[in-house]
Amino acid sequence: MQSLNISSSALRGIQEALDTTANNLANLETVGYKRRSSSFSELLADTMNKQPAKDAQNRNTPAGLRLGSGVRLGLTRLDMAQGNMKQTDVPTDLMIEGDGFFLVSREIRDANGASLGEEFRFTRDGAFHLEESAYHGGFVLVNSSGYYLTNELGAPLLIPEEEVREFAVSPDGYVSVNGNDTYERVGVWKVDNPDQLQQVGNNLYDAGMDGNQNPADVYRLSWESGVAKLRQGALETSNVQLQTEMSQLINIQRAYQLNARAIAITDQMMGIANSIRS
Amino acid sequence: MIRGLYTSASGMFALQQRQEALANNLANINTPGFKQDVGVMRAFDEQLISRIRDQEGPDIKGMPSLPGQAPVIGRLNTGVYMSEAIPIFRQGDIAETGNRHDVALLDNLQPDEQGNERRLFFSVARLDDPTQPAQQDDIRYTRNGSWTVNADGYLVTADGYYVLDNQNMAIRVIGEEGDNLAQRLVINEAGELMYESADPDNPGLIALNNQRLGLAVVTNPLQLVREGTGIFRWEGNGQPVSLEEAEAEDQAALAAGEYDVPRIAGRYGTKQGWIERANVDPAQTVTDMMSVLRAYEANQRVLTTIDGTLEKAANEIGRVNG
Repeated sequence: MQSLNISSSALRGIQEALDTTANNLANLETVGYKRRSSSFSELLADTMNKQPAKDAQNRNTPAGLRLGSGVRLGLTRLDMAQGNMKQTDVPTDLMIEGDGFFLVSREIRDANGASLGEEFRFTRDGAFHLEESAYHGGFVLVNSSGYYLTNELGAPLLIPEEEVREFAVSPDGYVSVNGNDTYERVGVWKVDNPDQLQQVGNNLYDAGMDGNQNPADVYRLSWESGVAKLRQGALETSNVQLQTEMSQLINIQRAYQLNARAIAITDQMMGIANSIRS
Repeated sequence: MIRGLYTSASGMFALQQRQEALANNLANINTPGFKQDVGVMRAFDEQLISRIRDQEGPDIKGMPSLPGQAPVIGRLNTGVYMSEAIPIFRQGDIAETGNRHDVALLDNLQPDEQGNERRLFFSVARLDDPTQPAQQDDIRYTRNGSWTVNADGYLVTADGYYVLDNQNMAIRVIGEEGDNLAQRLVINEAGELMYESADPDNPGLIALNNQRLGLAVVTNPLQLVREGTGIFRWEGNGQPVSLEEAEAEDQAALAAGEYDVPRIAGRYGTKQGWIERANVDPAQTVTDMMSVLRAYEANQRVLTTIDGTLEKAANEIGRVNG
C-alpha cells in the first residue's frame, strides 16, 4: 500500500525536523550559536491513467489521476539574526555586533612536524583566552577548541609582549596592550550568504579556503562596509528563542501523531484485506 | 460469476487510493504552499442488464423491450474508481519565519467575467543557462515561497528551481559591484525586489535591477497538473498571464465602467519573512480517513458474503447425500 510509504516518509521528515529543533534547544545557552529552521518540501507525484476513454469527458482537471508520494525535509536554513548580549567583563571576551564572523585558524602538520598549511574556520563565538606561545613569539588569543583568532590579514593575532597587564579592543577591532597600541586588528569577515557555509560542529563553520589562500581573496572585512562593531567584555548568546522552538515542537509532535494515526488506519485496512478469506 | 465480487473489489481498490490521497495531504501538513487534494470517485460505465432464459415475465416500465430478446431489468454499474484528485487552491494561513528568503503569497482575486476562479502563483523554472529568460514551456507554478540563495547567488526553491522575475529571468541577488545581497534582500508587498543600502551616507532601499517577482494569474487553476514537489504545470488552453497584464486589463475595464470594484488591483500581496502554510485541515482529513476505513471494511464484508454464497454453490448444490 502506497499510503504506508507516504505516511512513513512524513514520519521520517518530521523526525528530522525534530532533530533540528532539538539541536536548537540543546544550544539555547551556547555562545554565538545560530539556530536553523526547517522547511518541508513535497515529493514527486505519480500519474495514473485509469479509464482513458471515459476519463476524457466530464472532468474538472486534466486527464489522469495524480497522487503525491509524501514529504521530505527540504531545507534547514541558518538564521543569522543577532543574539542577545551577555556582559561578562572578561577582557578577552569579544562580541560582534552586526554582520560578520571571527576567522580562527589552526596549523595542520604532518608526522615530521612540517606545516601542511592552515585550517580556517568561521565562528561567532567570541570567548577567547590569552595563551603564551613560544612558537609565535608572544601572546595569542585561543578559543575553546584550540583555534587561534586571526587578524585582518588572516595570521594569528599576536601580542609580542613579555606580560599582558591590560588588554583592550576598540569597537573597530584595534588591540592595545598595557596602554600601547599594537596596530593589530581583529579580523571580522563578512560572509554574504552564510547558508552556503558548511557547519563543522564545535560552533565552527568551514570557511572553504585551502591552507595557502588569503582570506582577503575570498571574503571582505566587515570593517570596510562598517556593518559590524566589536564589544569587549561581552558575549553573544544564541539566537534561539524558547517560545518559537517550543511552539515548533508542539507543531511537530502533532504532525507526527497525525501521520502515525494515518499509518494505523492503513494498517487496519491491510488487516481487513487480509481477512477477506479467513 | 457473481458480479458483486468484482464490484466490491473495485470499491476496496478505489478506497485504497482515496486513503493514499488523504495520507499525502496529512504528510504535507507542514509543507509551505501545499494545496490539499480531494479525491473524486466515479462509477464505472452503466450497462443494461437483462433477464436470462425468461421471455415470459412482465415488461419493466420505462425499459425498452425488443422482440426476440430478453427483457431488460434496468441499468447497473459494476464498480467504482477514483477518477481524479482535485487540488483545492484555497488560501492557506500565513506564519512568520523571520527568514529573508521566505515569501508568503496572499490573494483574493475575484473571478473573471465567466465566473472562473483566479489564483496567483510564483513562476519558477529549471534552467540550463540561468542568464537566459525561461521558455514558456519550462515555466512552472508554485505557491511554496520558501527559498534559498544558491552558491551562484540565484534565488532557488528547495528543489533547485530558479525563481523567475516578471521578465521570466532567474533572479540573481548580486549587486553591480559583485557583492552578494542575499542578507540584504527586501521584497515589498507588491513583489518588487530591493536591497538595503550598505552605504552609511546614503541609507535606504535600492531597487534590484528593477526586478519584480514573476507572479502569474492562473484562470481556472484546476487546469494545472500537479507535478509534485509543490510544482504545477499548466495544461489548459492559452497561458497564464502575468500579474501586470491582468492588472492593466482590470484597470482598463474599471475605467470603462464594466464594473465598479477592482477585481485584481489591491487584492493580492506578498509578505517577506512569512510563509503560507498548507491548507490541509487535519481534523477533516482524519475524519475522512476513518470513513474510508469503514467503507473499506463494508466492501470487504460484502465480498466475504458473496464468497459465502459462492461457497454454497460450489460445495453444497452438487452434494449428493443420504
